[in-house]
Amino acid sequence: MNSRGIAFVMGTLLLVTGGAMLAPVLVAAIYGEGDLIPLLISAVISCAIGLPLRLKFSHGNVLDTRDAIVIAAFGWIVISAVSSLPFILHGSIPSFTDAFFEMMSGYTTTGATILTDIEVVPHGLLFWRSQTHLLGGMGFLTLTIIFLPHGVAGLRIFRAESSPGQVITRERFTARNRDAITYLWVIYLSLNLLQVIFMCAGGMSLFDSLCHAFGTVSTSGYSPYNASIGHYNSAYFDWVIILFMFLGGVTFMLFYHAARREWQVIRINTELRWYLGFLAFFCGLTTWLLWRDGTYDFLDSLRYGTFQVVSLLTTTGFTTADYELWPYAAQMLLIMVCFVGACAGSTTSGIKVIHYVVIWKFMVGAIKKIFFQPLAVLSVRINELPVDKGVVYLSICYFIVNVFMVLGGGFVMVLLDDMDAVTGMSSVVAALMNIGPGFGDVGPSENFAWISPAGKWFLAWTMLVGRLEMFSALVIFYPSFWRR
Amino acid sequence: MKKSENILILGLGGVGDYLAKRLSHEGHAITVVEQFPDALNRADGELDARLIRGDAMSFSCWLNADAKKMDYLIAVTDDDAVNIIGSLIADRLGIRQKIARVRSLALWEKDAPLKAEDVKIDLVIRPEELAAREIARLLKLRAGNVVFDIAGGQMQVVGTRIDETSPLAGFKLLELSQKYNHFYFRVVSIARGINTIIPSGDEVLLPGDNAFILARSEDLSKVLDLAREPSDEARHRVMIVGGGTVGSRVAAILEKTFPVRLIERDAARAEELSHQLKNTELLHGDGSEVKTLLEAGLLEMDTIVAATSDNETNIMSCVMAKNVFKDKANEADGKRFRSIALVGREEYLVAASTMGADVVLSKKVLAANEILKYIRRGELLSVAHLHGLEAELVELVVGEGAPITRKPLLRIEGTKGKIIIGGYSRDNGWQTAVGTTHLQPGDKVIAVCTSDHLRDVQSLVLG
Repeated sequence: MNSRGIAFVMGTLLLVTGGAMLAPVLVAAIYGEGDLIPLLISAVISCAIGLPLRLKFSHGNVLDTRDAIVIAAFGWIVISAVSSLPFILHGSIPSFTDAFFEMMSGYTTTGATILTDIEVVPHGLLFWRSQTHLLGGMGFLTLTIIFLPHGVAGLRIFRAESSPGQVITRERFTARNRDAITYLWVIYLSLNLLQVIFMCAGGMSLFDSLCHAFGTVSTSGYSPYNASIGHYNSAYFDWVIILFMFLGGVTFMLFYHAARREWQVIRINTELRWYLGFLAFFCGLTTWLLWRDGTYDFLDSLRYGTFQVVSLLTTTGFTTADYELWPYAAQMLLIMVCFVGACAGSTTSGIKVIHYVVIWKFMVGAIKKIFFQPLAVLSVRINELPVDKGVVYLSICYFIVNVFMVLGGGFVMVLLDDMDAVTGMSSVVAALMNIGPGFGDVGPSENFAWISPAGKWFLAWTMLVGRLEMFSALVIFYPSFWRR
Repeated sequence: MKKSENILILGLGGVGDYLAKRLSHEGHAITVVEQFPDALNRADGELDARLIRGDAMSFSCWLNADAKKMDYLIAVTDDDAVNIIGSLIADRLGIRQKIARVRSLALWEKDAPLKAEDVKIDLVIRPEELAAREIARLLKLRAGNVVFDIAGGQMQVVGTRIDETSPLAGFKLLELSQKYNHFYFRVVSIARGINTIIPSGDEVLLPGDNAFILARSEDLSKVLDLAREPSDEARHRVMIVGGGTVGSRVAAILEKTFPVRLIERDAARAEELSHQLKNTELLHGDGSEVKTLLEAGLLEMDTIVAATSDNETNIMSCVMAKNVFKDKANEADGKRFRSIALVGREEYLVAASTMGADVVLSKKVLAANEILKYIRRGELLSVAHLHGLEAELVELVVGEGAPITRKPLLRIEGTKGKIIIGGYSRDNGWQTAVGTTHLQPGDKVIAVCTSDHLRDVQSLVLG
């Protein structure tokens, strides 16, 4: 293990975090609500730890895959801990457990909150809370890689983090890793900017539109209001947010191709077609259920149904209605939607559409081969190209590990806290798939404040596991990973 | 400086992989097209390059690779024809520079109807020919001593093996320079075990090391004496093991000057070669057996060249031959015996040279260096890759305001164990650099570093 190299990357990570705190410092200075000093102190502390690490352990250290995994797994923990400082210093979230949970939830783009009354928190801290989405959405480490000296290290970290921008076929659109990451960030920030413009045009204040844009494009779900997007009760904002949640769930590489007018690449993209299909199916069915049941009139059914389905499918977790009051069939549908993430290479988490595509195609072929055509050749094609066997196995493993995490994690939650089975399981789904709100006592009208510290630590870890797409966060529990 | 080029590489075989690694280390944007997923999977995560799975002979693949934006094409697939057609396609797409590996020698004969220009290739790479010529150069010019001319022949680098009795063994480099202060020389890199070391003053030379020493040309004979390398030999007898492309080419080049014996395992091939090589004594037998080697007259030889298609056989033949010689030192009246091994795998290069092969050559590395030299021309004055090491020797001009001009060499940080400035030239010719040397803009310098630090050298010296 190359501890010097790891220290160097961690130092860079802390410097980037400290630098990122300057934006909320600015907001705090404008609003003047007593959160300026805590934010400034935190920024200074973060840089004060990071700078010596970066300077002392100068570059030229090559990192192997193991080091990259260690960085990916512990990097998120370190920055979440440092980022929780402003809340503790200010006192709006006094407990470290709570603040850490809130920040981990922010960086992993989960959006599960322990704040019962969000609106009393000063604007600077609220901005910081939403900004963690902005940083985490594209993968905090990808941002750091841009600041690392050139070399293979960045590439390995990029792989270990399972950052957005990577698709399952491991295709890349530029020759250099750093260029690819820079393009992804440009696309990501442009989407954010575009949404801010749309929201401001609809009459939302700049502060609110920034916070909501951060929470939408990164498909995370923090809102500065207790009632989330429901606070506005405006069809225009709902539809704008639906649009950008949808875009946040599209493979970002496709935006690059769209900008270059390479429509062919987009046309043959298998995952995008399935993504649209899934959305149309679930939105249509939910709308119909709501309308048939008489919950809303048709237009409202379409609006609330679509919003909730898109919000849960893209793992955003914004809410406009308390869906626990909806007909049971619609609720069941939403639980199903929780298990589907959007496209790989987007800002979303969970089990991606591509995993289902691969597993489905493999399953259909395998059944055919086993039961009625033993001579059939098993091949899975994505984007008109055959997929490697390894990718197929990985997809299947990924799906199975997810299922076991949900069942096992649900058991752990029920064991740690006095809760019913639905709450236990859905809290793990909400954390693991980085969604945010779940069902039962962690539903849209509730929050995670009442869960015991042990439960919060477990959920925070679950969020990280989900964000790193399982394997990077799980291999560190293999004893042989540490031996050598 | 540090101009970044867009480079398209066809084929991720030995040369392709090695080149892609080296070029991406130097900051170029690399795209690789390869047909087989296994090679791609191995490279994924190790290579900062865009990897495209596809057939170089399909047009969609070129489109996908964004070929129109490329500055260089390097066609190094296994197939000569694919490489040639690749260059033609690249030319049609407007890629300025085309480099292609074409193994077949017959295509480039003097009066051949098809010239490289006709198929739009700017640089033809023939790895076997490069290896054969390098072996011949080493044997012809320097009696088997590994010597590189640099700075237009004013300075030279000599490779030598340190054994138990060597006057250099067991000393720190700093002590050596004090002990032999009547002429300057500098140890610029050492192969030890499986590592390449760029030594600092505290490094101790150990028996078994293969060291490269830089000195001014007029001091060369003194260095050779010190290293106990015979500086001149009238007659040189060569035995070649393996009559493949490289072996037969070496024989063809050398047979006019030296007595050459070639051992080939395959009877038919041996017979065929005996017709082609008029002045070479052809033997049929297995060169990996000591008995065969002795029968073939190993003890009368001065140099053995192991050039079979098998890496392990080549290394082992050299090691065995060296040991046989040691045992029978009396019969061989104490003369210096040399071995040259052709080794393809990168991992083996350093190990082979510390195990006993005096010169370790790799077709792949030679080919890659030829290409690198071509791409770098103008940027670095000249480049040599030290045989059997992962070390580079470059000549460059110190830039205005470069970091290296700020302090004397001794006090420049971050270079220890990575980069050595071996020599420099100001007004009156070349000098070996010492710790107190303070470089100025406009000086020419010779730097030695491991391949992955070449970029650091550039930023340090060029500014």
